[in-house]
Amino acid sequence: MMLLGWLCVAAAGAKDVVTEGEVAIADGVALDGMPEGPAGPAPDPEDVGRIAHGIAAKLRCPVCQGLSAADSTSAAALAMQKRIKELGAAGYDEQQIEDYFTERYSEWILLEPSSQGLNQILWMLPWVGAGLGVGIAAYTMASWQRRRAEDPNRTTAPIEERPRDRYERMLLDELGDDP
Amino acid sequence: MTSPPTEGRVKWPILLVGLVLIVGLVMVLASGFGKNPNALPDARTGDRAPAFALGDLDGERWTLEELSGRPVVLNFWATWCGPCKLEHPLLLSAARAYPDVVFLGVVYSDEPGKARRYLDEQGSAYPHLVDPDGRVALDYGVGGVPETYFIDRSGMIVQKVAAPLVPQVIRPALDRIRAR
Repeated sequence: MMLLGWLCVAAAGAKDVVTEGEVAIADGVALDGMPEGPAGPAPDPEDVGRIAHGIAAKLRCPVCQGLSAADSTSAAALAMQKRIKELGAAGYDEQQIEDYFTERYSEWILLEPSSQGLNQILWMLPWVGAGLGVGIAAYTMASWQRRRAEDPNRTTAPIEERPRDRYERMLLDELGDDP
Repeated sequence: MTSPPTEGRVKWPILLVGLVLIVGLVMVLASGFGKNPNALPDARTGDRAPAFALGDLDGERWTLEELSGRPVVLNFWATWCGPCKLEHPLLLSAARAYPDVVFLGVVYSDEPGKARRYLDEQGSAYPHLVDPDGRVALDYGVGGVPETYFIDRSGMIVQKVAAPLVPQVIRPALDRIRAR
């Protein structure tokens, strides 16, 4: 109940049209600082902490080295966690909350870059690399096989039935076949 | 009849692919090593400054809306921040030298009592707002202190400085927001 009451205060952007009694502000009314209303209904209050933690874990703490906003106890991370909870409690989905932070901090704030625009190259590069590796390996093996097949000195006959070794023959040629 | 020797022949397609990969890798590395990977990119310059309504250390309420039509310098700082102390004298003299510009400090992640004591000792020439839950800092994309936002008369962020201010930086920034 306290949370819902607090949400009314947080909805400063909608203050003029929403009174404290109209707690259903989450349904379609944009919270302060948000360009649009929540994408869905407000989640169960018991789930808000878990959802918020999951989102904070994907965001970078702006003042820490390599820590997510969920793992840091810095003031900046705590402010982020609080804001994520506010937005999550109002029904804003993960994408909307990520957009809120990327608008303020750029994509730098995302620990995992999005797979849109030029970032697609980043996501595709490992697959392209793996494909290239398989292609090069297949080409190399095929060329080895071809070379073996084309080798005039190669024979499939058992060793004991082979004619004289060519070095032996060359040696004998040099010696003039003189036993 | 023997097949022609292949060992000494240059395989141009493979060489070309390798060359392209190496040149690409060198370019990516050169671009990456030229930047600080921990530096927070400036995402707010050119945007409309986010609205705020905060009380100052004396309890007076300030909103950005009420300052419309005047250039504003918004400086996020804290008493625990060493570089903030370095730039403090410069901000004091700039605030006195440019009375047409509204200078506002925002106490970031700090206790108002400590901020007040610090200002009593070091002097103050402009109001200092309290951002208790860091919400305004979040809206401005503050990544640490000191950080200063130069806002022109139309309410647009013209420049963000994420470092202690120095005369060579603050002077042109002030000129820009006063000229617009």
